[in-house]
Amino acid sequence: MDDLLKIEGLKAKVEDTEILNGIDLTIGRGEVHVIMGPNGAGKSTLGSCIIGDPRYVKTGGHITFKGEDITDAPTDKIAKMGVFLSFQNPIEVPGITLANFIRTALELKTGERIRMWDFRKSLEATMKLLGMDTSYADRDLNVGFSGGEKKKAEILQLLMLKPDLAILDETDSGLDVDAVHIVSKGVEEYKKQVGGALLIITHSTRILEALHVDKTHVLVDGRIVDHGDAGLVNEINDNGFERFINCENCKNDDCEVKKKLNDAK
Amino acid sequence: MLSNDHLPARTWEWLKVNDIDLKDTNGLLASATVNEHNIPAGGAGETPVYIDCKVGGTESPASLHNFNIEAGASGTVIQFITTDGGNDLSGDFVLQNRYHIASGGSFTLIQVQNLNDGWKFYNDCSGVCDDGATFRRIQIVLGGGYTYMGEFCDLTGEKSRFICDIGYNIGGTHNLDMNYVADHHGKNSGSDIHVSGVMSDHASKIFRGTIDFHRGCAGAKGAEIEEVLLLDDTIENKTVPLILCDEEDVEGSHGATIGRLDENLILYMKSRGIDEDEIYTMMAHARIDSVASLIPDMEARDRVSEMICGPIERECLRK
Ligand SMILES: Nc1ncnc2c1ncn2[C@@H]1O[C@H](COP(=O)(O)OP(=O)(O)O)[C@@H](O)[C@H]1O
Ligand SMILES: [Mg+2]
Repeated sequence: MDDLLKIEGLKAKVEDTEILNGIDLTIGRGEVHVIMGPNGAGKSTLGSCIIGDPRYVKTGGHITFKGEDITDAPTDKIAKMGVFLSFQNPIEVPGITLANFIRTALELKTGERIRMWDFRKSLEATMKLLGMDTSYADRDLNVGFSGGEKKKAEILQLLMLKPDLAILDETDSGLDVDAVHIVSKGVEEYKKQVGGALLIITHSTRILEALHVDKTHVLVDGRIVDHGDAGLVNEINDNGFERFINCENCKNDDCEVKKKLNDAK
Repeated sequence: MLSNDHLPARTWEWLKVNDIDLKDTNGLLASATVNEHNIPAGGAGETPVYIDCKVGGTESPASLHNFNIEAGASGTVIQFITTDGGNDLSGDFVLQNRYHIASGGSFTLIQVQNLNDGWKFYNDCSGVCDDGATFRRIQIVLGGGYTYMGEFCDLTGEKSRFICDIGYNIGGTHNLDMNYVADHHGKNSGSDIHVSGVMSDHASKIFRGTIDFHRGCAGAKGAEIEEVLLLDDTIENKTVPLILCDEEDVEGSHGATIGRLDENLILYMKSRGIDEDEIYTMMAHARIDSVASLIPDMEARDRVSEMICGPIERECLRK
């Protein structure tokens, strides 16, 4: 068994609303998977469920990582096992500098003290790679960072923490062309240096350009409705999600497609 | 008389929060001699003076200091109040600082307290600021049993200033009782009291902050800000801000942020492999650090750093 992540029949709800209605997804070591889907489909919820956000209650199914059942494992344990989630909206951490934050996370992960000098050197080199001013190392993490800087700080953490599975939740959304380029370069670097697996939630192809996509999944209304290769990404970009949608049974009022169809009526 | 129970108005009694009884300390005060310190203008006062209070052992149970800061002089005093000897020691300790800052002078008093829980500590401070004088107080409170802290700053002089930053991290059954008074008489006098703390376990705290604008202090401004991070439900937290106005042309403000760590923040940190205990420790350190970073003396800052990081060893690093 060389599966890194295996999700079987995952159902999840939040505040009594079913959001995921039976997800099956298997990611092998080092594979690149893409998830696409309209707004409100449950993409972020899937990421939250994998990382063990306790606010999403799993009502069915299992998640295993490296052969271990992590369905009900605490978030910090799942992270230490090698899962990383790049947040769609990274959180501000007042009082803790970017450098201290990453160093603590790294020390807790490896169980070893890291020499300040060595850490600083590799941190600054990685920041430069991402076009981040090294003065950000001594600023409180994400506090007062622009949207682009926050996303770069996520990729910086990805590169420093070197997880076996990285989930990128719209890391490229809302960024200008240059920032998307840098983020893509960072992801490519992660692939090169660490060789880890990726689960990329995205609406665009740009972040995927330098990567070999193994599989694309279409998530609609809490279900994976189609699989394909990299070509599916292009097809969706051209034609949208309409052909995947059975709006009659859909209970998701946030769904873009449903809104469009309702407007058309 | 200690300024801990010297209050400008009787309000406390109505609010039933004035529960300190300092009468017991009179005996301790009687046995102590007063140390006189004069800080003259020009030069010498620039290097900080260390006054280490090693409580217990052979130290007298009271330490009294009078500081006279001459016109235009500036001085810094750093007091570390720590326990000398075993953890089983207990008792009472009184520290009293009095100051007079002459025109244009400035005086910085830095206090770092780390006692074990057997100690009842009375930390009393009061003084007068003349025209253009500044009193700067920085306090860090770590360990202790009962801690009473008081300040009565008489802002007599025009444009005199009182700037006070307090950082505390209290746990166990530590009881912290703070009573701070900025007594504005001088025109355009200013006061700033900023308290930032973390409470856990069965700790209890009361912060009484009074800005008293007396007739004639036109143009005076006073502000008190409190930030408290609550890590457990078992703590007891009280805040009693009071702004008294006998003068029209003044600005007084009080602000408080009291709360727990945001659940999104906790999840974010956990998603990087940081467990809950470590998150709390990091956030508590951050609060103390932000006050410690105001200490102008590197050596003192390092000592504080050691105090807060020393005893904390991460489980996984303990191999
Ligand atoms: N914490 C929450 N509380 C209430 N509803 C939520 C919460 N998180 C997600 N939802 C709902 O679940 C659905 C899926 O959300 P999400 O996973 O964020 O979608 P996507 O990332 O695909 O845009 C949406 O209808 C959203 O409103
Ligand atoms: Mg989303």
